[in-house]
Amino acid sequence: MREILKQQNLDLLRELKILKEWISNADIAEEMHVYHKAVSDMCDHLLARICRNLDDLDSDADEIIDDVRSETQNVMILFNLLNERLIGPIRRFLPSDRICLKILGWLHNTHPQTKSLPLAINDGSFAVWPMNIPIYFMPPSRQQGLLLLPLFFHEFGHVLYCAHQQELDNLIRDFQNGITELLTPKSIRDDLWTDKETEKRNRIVEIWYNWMVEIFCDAVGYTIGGPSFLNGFSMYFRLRGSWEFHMPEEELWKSEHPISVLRMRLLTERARNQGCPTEAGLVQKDWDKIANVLGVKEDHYGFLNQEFYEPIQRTVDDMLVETSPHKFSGEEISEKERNPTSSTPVHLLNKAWSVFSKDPQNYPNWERRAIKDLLSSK
Amino acid sequence: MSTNWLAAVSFQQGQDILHAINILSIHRKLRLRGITDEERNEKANEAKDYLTNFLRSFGSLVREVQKGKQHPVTGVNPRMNRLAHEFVSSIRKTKHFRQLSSISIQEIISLMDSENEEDQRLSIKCLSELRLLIEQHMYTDANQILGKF
Repeated sequence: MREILKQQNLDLLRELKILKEWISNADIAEEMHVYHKAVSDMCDHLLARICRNLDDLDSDADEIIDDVRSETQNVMILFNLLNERLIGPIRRFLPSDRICLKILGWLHNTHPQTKSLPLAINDGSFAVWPMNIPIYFMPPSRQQGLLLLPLFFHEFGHVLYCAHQQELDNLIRDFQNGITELLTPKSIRDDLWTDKETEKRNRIVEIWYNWMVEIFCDAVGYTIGGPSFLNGFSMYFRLRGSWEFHMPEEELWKSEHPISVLRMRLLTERARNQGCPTEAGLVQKDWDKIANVLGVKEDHYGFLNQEFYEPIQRTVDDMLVETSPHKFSGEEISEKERNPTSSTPVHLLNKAWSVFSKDPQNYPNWERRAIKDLLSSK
Repeated sequence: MSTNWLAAVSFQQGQDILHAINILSIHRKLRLRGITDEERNEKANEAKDYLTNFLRSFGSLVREVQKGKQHPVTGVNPRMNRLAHEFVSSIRKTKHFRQLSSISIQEIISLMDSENEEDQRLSIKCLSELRLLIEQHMYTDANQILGKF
């Protein structure tokens, strides 16, 4: 075993040196410097662990071999993460990555807990890996336009969640305990059927953990981006098919996100109460039209009832107070022309939606100019 | 909007726990052999503190899970909830988890704190069984974010 482990660590050492060379020769934009340093530090950390493994293998203590085996395995997995996911944004850096990096950099700077966090952008479905080095994913062509960039604000919600996990878990616990009470019948029989029903209820309560995280992230998205988030969210989901409006019961048991029509309703309710009733009305109308055409009838199969709405919104409000994300201002959603030196990306994204809504044909020309301005601003 | 964020967070936590177990285990074994291993002293102390914190919160989660399916587990992310269920079901199969099945998590914390050699040996055995469980759990997370070959 000792020889196998030595061989594996020496192979890792050789591979790691290749990555280190790429990192030191990388030609990247200023927006990537913090990330570049974080990845470089991670290489040094792994290098130190590999050298430690090799030293331990040189000792004659047989009793630590299984520990070194585990340590080698972990370094290998971390190395794979580095090689397969973290190095890509550096090695394949494109000048156009700067659009997303500028917006995400601004976003991280708005919050004390994410200010110093490195970040990177990668190709993929909308997602974030909120690890020590958060990576945001977005489909490639969407990275080049402005309309769906507000969806990053939802992903940023996951990063905020991790930064405040203990407090937010407690709030979700209170919510889950509340819906347990709402779901529990007033009188309970003492038989096998009742046990099965209780298990089913408990499973529903546990599923709501993930759903509440997603609903919180949607609320973070709206709080930061205002109508731009509402519109981006709606455009992304509204024509993906009938499952966004109705999901078979067996799928709901497996679903890690609440059904989109519910997310949309909660968002429009939030928007209606928080400064954007017109936009909320328009988006809701679109969804009603599509639901009508699809002929879907809403059924949540006991996963949701009317009494849930108030505790959902109350809990999410508390979670927003706890995490305190940037709140869009009147100016950021105004029709006022954007000032490239002082305006925020939120203003730009709302402006983009305003232009697109009025004149989708000529929007691409406006967008090209707006992106040029964004990239030339400090 | 994928849910890989849960796997990513769980993956990182698993990595941190495993690294801490490995550091502490190697350090203690070398010291029991009479090697001072001073270089690893500080890291081993940090690892012990990290594991103590983790085991405290994991212990209360395990107690929740042990109440059975008639009680929902609330305020816990699904991957951590899963790990607690895996722990409870694994310690019932005593073959690979002989130590963990005969000791409480609170007792493991006390053993880790003890200066007594026998306690230290026992704590190493417990951590080694816990490591096996967490390695299996993290394998799922790693597959989800990195994919299978």
